[in-house]
Amino acid sequence: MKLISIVFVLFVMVSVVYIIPVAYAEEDDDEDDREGFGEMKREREHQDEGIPIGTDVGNVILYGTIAAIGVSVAYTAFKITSSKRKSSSKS
Amino acid sequence: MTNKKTNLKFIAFLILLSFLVIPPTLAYADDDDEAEDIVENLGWVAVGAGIVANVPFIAMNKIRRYTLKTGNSTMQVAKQIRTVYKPILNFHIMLNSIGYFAGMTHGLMLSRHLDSVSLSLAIVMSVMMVSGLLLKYTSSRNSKIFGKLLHGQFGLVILLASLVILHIVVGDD
Repeated sequence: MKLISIVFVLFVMVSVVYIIPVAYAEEDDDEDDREGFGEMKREREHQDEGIPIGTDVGNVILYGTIAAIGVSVAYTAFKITSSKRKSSSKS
Repeated sequence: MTNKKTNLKFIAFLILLSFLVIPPTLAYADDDDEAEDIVENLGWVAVGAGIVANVPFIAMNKIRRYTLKTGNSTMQVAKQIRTVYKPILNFHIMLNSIGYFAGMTHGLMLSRHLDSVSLSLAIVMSVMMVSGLLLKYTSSRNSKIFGKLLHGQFGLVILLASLVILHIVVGDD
């Protein structure tokens, strides 16, 4: 019964998560009716946004993140092994 | 036995129903203008869920640790916090799962605008999610300790928060 209630609450929350953005977006349908030149401008705006993969800054961010994750995983593993070694040497 | 069967039927019904709920959202993804608004909103849902799920939980843990450290006079507060710990933990898990899936859907729908900040954010979110699942569902003692240490690492939390802020700033430009 507990599992059912958890699944039910999860379902309701997931549904809300998916429905709200759709409903909210439908409200301002008419706000953005750009055609022709406006549309081309919009496409260009999208091409310019973000920090693309492969650029210097992009690579620094991506490899920096991967390195940070690697370091934290290694640090965690080191902490566990060192505490195990300590406890085995005590006994 | 029959109770279990009814439960399974109900779960199957909910899964089927969710297939009716999610496709309309995905269908909008083909329509450029409306889709981008929806997908952006999904991103904000992920950010909101993350803030609501984590800020009270981290604050509660900090207060609990502080009260345990300071001793007798504040022990009552620590006891009170212990009674509400489980519901708040469940709330934390549930909202974070929703935030994770909303964020991933947002990322998958906008994958043609993929940049390094978004990719880094997806990687960090997945690491946090996997360590959380490891912490919750594994029975091995070592995996539990590993999950606990990795999930609670301050560096990863700071990295996640700064990537979210960077993603919002870069996305808004």
